[in-house]
Amino acid sequence: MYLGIDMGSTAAKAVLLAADGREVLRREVLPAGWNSADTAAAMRGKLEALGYDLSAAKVVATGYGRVSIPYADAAVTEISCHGRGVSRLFGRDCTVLDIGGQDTKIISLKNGKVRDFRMNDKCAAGTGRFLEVMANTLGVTLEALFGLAEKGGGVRISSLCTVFAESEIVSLAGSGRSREDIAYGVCESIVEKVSALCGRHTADDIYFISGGLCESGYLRRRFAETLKAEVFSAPEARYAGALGAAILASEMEG
Amino acid sequence: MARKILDWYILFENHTQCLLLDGLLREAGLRAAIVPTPRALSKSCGVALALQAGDEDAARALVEREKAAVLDFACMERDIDPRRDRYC
Amino acid sequence: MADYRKMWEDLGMDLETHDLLCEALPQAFGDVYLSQTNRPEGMSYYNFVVSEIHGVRPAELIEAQKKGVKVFGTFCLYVPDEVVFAAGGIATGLCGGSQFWVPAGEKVLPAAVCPLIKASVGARLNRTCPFFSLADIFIGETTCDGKKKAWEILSQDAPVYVMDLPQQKRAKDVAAWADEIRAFLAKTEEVTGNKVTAESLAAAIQLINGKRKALRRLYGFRKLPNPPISGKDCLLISQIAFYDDPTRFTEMTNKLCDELEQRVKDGVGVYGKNDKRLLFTGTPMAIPNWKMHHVAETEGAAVVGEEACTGIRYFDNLVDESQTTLDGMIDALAQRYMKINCACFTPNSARVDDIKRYVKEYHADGVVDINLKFCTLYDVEGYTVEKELKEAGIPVLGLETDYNDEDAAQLRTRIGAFLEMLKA
Repeated sequence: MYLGIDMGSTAAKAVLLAADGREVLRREVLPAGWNSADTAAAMRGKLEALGYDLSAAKVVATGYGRVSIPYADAAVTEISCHGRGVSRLFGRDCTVLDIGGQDTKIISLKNGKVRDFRMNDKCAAGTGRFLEVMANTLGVTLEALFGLAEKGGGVRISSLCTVFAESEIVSLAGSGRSREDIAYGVCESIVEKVSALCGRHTADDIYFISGGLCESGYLRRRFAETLKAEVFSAPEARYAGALGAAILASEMEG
Repeated sequence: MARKILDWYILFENHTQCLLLDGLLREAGLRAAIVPTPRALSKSCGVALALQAGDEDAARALVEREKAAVLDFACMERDIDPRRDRYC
Repeated sequence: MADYRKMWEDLGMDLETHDLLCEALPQAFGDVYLSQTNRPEGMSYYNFVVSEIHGVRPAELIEAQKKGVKVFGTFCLYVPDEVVFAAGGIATGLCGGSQFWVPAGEKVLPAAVCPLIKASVGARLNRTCPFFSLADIFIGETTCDGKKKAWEILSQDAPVYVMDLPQQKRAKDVAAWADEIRAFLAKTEEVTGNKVTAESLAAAIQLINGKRKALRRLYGFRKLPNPPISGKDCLLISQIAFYDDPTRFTEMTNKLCDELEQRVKDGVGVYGKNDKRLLFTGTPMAIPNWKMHHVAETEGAAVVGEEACTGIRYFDNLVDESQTTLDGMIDALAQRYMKINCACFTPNSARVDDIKRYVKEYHADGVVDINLKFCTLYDVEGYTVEKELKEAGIPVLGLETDYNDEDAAQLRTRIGAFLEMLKA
């Protein structure tokens, strides 16, 4: 068996592949704890409780906590893993958009391999953290944020900085703007920022959203409109990083 | 977990003493490294000599024989972590 | 370094705050440098210079000052050291490369100024760097808007002289720079009370060319398939070149190169077989800024060169030594210095040519374009650099960072992914 484990900053994802390296036996997700090693142990415990014997499994870790997983045989960056995972899921060359909790990655795939990639500057603007903070400020979940945004319009969040943007939406709310309009402004901000990152990226015809935001049809549509390109995704794309890690585990020698 | 390693250092009052002894050790075939003095050991002089494992007795003997000026011999657990990412 | 307390006190330094820096250095240096295995023995000299960074060299400078010698603090590759030494002065590079000095700089500078400027001004104002405290005069230059205005603030605290650097490289700009060097020469004569002669300038040109040749020889080893010295060790040597005594530095660096020659003969290298070779390009990495090299080399890269002020740009062209008149030498200096390709010039296409040439010479697998946060010039130029390199089929990664430690994990991910991409 091959286990890929993606220790993200908001959630830990795992994909377990059968001995053939293709059949997906299990996908799991756990909220990221304070300590990556503890979360990794909990993930292993969960899989073992389900009856999988991991003692002989090859394990590849990815995500920002990749180096703190004691039972991993190797650590590989999210970029390679998302590239690999999307390549398996989607089967076409494309530009991968992964809006992660801490990092946003734009990965261009050619012949199934990472040809180039670009990531956000070190601040949280344009990352999942930005959305999370804004959803919290509005007192809604991420899914609800997208639902609200669909019904809103007309608001622009001008601050690039998450901290300033937070106070900006507080004052927008104070001035009587609806939550729908503010949610719209928040989503537009992320779409604009990530699209700008793509624009500096080598242009590709089609895009694929991987990671935690894969299930928002609203975001996908807004990206398609802004990038003027087809944007795909899949429900399993949340696990693309973990899948890529598991595939890499299946290709490890020895 | 990494095994705990003890490193021996020779401490000095000033860098001139350090450079002198470094030369003497070298002549005697002992290869010490000139390093910034670990703060846990001393604050007196910027440089110290880090001895290779097992060289401390030979170095001590040489210091006595040559009457070389040193402040102290001291040892501490190795505290070098290339992935600590704490810069200055 | 407490054996220098008296000297620091006499300089009016803030000993308590300074001690925090002294405290941080041994651990950081240990993690970055002493964690390496198989280092050349000759690195001991540079270990020594860093360990005594605020001790030995400042003490030498103060001794020289007691004999009437003047110390000129400089901040830029364009300021010709030759002129200072020809006037019997000592030039010492001053750029600050530590977060330690940034907050003090932010007291008088906007936060959105590059850390290099903030640290440099901060080091002077909070009196925690002996070099900044002892310099008789600071030589600024007009390379960027941040620096231009920072000199005005610095001059409220210390004597500052500013050289006016052209922004283009036409013949009339080279002539204008020669005129600036003439004016600077007159200034050095005024400060030192000495006359610059054709003889003294010729000697100084040889002295500084000697340093450049030693560094060129050192970097030659990085071009080899199995480099006998690490990139971060070379960075350290480049950083020390800015402030060490040039004669001694040249001698010690050549001595190290002799050892490296032997290592090459013996087949001794410092990298693994699968390590990818990276060329860094971009903003300067002033001492003790070792973060990028350390991150890259602990992620499985060999940093084989830096197209940067702390790197190849510092020594790449020699000053013509065949001139016999003062005027001829000054023109030769202007010509040499105007060959440095800094992003403060427009257009600056020769820089991209340099990078492409170094990729070939140093056999780099990829280029990492590193920008210090808020350096507008290099940030904007980065677009063209990255575009042209990609068009030439050279993989390139653009990164932005500052002197903080907090982005280390993100930098590791970006560099790690770039290396995986190069290996795939």
